[in-house]
Amino acid sequence: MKTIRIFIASSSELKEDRDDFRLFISNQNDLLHKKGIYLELVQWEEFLDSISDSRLQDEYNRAIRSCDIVVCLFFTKVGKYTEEEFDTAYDVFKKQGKPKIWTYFKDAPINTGTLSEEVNSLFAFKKKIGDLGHFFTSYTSIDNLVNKYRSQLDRYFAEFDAGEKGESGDESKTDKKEIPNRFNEVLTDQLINAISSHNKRAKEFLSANSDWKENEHLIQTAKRLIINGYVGVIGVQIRKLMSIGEEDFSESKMKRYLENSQTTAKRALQLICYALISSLWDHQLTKKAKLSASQNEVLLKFFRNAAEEDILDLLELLKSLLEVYSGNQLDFLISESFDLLPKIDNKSDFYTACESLHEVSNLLKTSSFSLEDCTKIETSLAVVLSELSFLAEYRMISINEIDFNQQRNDEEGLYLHNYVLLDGEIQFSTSQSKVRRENSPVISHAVILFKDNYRKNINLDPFIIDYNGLALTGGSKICFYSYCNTYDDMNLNFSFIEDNSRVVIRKSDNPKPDDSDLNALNKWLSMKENRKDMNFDKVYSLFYQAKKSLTGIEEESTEDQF
Amino acid sequence: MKKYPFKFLDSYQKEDKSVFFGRDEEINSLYEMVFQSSVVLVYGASGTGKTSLINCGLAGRFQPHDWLEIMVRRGRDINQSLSSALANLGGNVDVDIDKSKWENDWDEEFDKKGKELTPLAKSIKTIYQKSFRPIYLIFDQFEELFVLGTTIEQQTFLESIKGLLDSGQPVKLIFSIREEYLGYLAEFEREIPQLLRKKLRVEPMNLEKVKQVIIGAASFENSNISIKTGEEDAVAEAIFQKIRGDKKSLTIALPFLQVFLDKLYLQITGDENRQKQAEFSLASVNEMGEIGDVLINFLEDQVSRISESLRGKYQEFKPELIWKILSPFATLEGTKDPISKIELFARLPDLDNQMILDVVQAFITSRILRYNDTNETYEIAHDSLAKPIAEKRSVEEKAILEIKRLIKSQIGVREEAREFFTEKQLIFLEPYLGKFKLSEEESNWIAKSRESLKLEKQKEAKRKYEELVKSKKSMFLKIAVVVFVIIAGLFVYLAIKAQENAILAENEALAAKKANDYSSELLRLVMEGRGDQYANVSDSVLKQILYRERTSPLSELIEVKASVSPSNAGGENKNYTMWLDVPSFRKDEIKEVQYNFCRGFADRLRVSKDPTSSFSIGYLGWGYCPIMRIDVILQSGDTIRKEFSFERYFRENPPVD
Repeated sequence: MKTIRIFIASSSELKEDRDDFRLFISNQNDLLHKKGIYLELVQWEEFLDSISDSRLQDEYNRAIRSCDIVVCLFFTKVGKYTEEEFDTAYDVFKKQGKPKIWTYFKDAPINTGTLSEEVNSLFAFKKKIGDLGHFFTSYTSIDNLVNKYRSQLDRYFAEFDAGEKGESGDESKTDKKEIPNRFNEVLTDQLINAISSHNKRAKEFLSANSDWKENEHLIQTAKRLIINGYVGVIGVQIRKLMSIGEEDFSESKMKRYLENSQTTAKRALQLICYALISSLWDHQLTKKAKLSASQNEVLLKFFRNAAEEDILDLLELLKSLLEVYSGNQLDFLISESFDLLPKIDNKSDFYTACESLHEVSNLLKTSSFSLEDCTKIETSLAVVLSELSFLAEYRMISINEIDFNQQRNDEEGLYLHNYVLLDGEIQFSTSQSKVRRENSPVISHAVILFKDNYRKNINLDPFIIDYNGLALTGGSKICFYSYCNTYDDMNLNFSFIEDNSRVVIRKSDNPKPDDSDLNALNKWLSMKENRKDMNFDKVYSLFYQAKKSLTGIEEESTEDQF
Repeated sequence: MKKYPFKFLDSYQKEDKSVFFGRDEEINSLYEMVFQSSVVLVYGASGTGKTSLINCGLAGRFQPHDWLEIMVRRGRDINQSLSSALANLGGNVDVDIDKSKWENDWDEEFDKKGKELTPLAKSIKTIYQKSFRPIYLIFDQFEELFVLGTTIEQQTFLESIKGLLDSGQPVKLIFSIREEYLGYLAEFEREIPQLLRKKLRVEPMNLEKVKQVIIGAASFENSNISIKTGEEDAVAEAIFQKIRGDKKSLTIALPFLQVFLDKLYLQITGDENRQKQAEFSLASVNEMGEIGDVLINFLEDQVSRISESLRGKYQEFKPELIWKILSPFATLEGTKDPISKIELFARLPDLDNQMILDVVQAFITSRILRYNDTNETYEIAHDSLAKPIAEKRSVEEKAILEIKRLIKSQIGVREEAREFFTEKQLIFLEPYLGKFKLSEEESNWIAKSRESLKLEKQKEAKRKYEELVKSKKSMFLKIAVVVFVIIAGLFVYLAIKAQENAILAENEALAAKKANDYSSELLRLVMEGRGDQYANVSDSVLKQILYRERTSPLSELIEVKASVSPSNAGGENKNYTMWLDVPSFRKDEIKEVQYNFCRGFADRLRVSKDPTSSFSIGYLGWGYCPIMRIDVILQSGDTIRKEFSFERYFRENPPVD
């Protein structure tokens, strides 16, 4: 028989609840004895009065150290003893990881006449334990308390059972975090300042709230401004980091924070590289740029690579591309990226930061990471993203279909562009597809990036695609090009930015009928499934066209495309 | 640590990811849909595992930082449940200081509508900004809003949802509903067209999936279940066959499977703690014998076990009492109906509260009932158990449920569009009104309905009366008056009933006062109708009269009355009419009235069974009996004998020529 000692602390006004709660505990024993568990209530008030103040603390310590569980109940005030009981239990907990402390605040109607100054002690106490990171719950009635506690106990016993078998359990969901949570402090501070010169809202925010760091709400607002400030796809990643940062401390938290920091940096570099490649392709169509042998080599590697480029690969790619642009005096919409060129040098802070983000893979592989690593990586990411803060001036949208609308006697028709705005919370704007009226069409089914003029944009297709847009399902599923099965079936692999899952684009065996047979073509196009195949086939062929145009290498599979 | 893989009647949660089998396809589809729309609908028959698919399957696909689920069950009111679920997560708008300035809006061409966020959207925003986890609002068992909710509740909810979807806050909605209620969504769909755009049907478990479940449960690491090597497929198939029994359906319901597997485990190990290792084999499955309806058997089993264990504490404790206590947990149709402790006590006024609690506790322990933390209600663990409970109800229980529903459905409509209860409905309601508690709105509406019906009836009576007066058929005139009195009298009855009910329920004081005013007024009206002698009598005297009429033995109240008038055809013959003067509300106690004529009359015994005419008889003739004997036969079988003297009548009412 295993005995679990429970200590119940409450102020005198909750005597009834306490008594009922005790009754509940004894009833539980009837059920638990089958499991070989006995709950022992540690009774207190009998000798509370009989021991002297000086000895009180020792007595408490001894009793509480011997307890497995402490339950504290509060209502309109915090009795002096109750608070001491909590403090003692908490001190003991910090030292030996036990007892488990549960705090319940009663939330019930009261006569305001009965309230006294003491109610302030309640607020102070709530704040205090909140600051300690202690988790507390409210209850409305004794039934509510008992039922809430029953489920807590069930969980406790499950953990208890696991604990009996040795401390092998996975990240235990302890109700406390002893480590102060300082995740994202640096990142938030640096990024909100970095983007403020590119983003009106961030700038206004800072000028109106110079003291934002003092205010919990404003810190959160700053975080959200950053999430939505950075061009969409980067915002998605920052959102994840912000979210992980809010979690209680755990192994898994550190692991995911590191993983996602790396991914954030990688996505940012990919975005700029893909924009450069896309634009270069456009340039190639009008005027062939001259590429050195090594530049060509880097590009060819990119198109052939059968594994996703890592951060250092991307840096190399970025460097080559920027050199091609400056060497050939080509212009590029994201002109700020030219400033990066001198920084892609192994002595710069930017480069060092990228390197350390690259190293995260090793940390994760060996599972040898600490809080310190998280801090270091956060700082590195802050450096990288600050350098790329100009991205806050850009926007991305996913253009779906374009409708043409012209009524009788209209001089000219209207083009209705259906698009989804890609921001840090893309996932949630998905069903809110927007419409924009224009006098001319744009290329449909494409993800485009632009600054202030929607018409002057970079079409990122086929390197960044909206899978759901192409599949005509509604909503967006933004995928980044990842790698190509060059030495196998030539399929293209993309990575879905929400969960990094792999999305494969293969050539369909559903060829579009020849343009000469209009009837057959129309019939074929009338089927949604066919249009979907057509869209994906287009991504596939565009990739190989780009490859051919930029590297001069033609693959067999591109032959029968056009 | 060995893990028992079955969940019995509970749904699977995110933590159970490792023991959740047979649903990969659906999980993938659902996961895809979530990225295609902000609103996703999951539907399927009862017992197909919709809740588990969302809570375990879908949730398991997300990283902790990408998923914040808020489960909302209707509880007593879906709108309240929703706001309290949000409040529990700190979505309290009051503390939200001025952040609206810094919303994620877009300048120039991407400007948002600039509308103010609804309170709901604001609290979603507050919650989101605490954790930056995308919020998934999951409305489980959404059919409850239609089965149990009022129209107002539905409309309010619809508005909130629209506001939420317009807000641009990071929230997605998942609705889960039993497929037989899909039709109810038509109106919602009109307002929220995307509601039915992305929907997933959860198919019942076919043999293939049942195999995956059983084999999966036995083969994961740490399972304390195993299957005899080589018999895996056969065992799964045998279990499937056992559960579907004679029915040749291709699928089975999950609760049956879970309860069966649990039973099988217990049969093998006998370990109620479910810790021992069990090996399922073909032989052990076949030993299970004919199982019939697994769930009903299981429930009956539990009921007798619980009544056995409570017999020590409560003498003469019978299983029927348990069924009675379980009854309020099921709706009339046999779906589950969550109920709070207070409501439960109110529904079972004649049972000891402690006993009710003990029974509820016992069922929670055996996992047939469960407690909902969010709205502090208790409910049956699964819909499939609600049916057998509903079937055990008595006639009266059913009637009360029907009445409650009738009242609720009427009150559920906005007052402008609401209809009064009809006469038929009122008569149906009356006998049960004291047996459960009405809300103020409900009792007011019943009072208003009575009022309206009264006016209606009076109008009708007056119209008939005037018609008769016009036709000058004086013999029927008096009868017409009687008819009027009788009809109006019904309202005295109703009013008194209402008053009684009102006194019964002290907290319906307001309604009682209204009923009281109404009955005084009615009293005067009726009594005036009865004749001049009542016209100037005060209310209190009228009440005394009425009290006497209500409480005195009928023999003291009955008087035989007669009227004689000349024949329309002229001549010697006259119209003779006789009837009983009896308070109308007591006429029900009379079965028939026998008028015994004297010698010389052809039919010496004439009987009236017609209470609406006050048991009158009439004849046209030249003569009369000097003294007549009248036997009033009561429903109770007793006879009250009265005499009537025409001689005296003529003395007091000399014939006018």
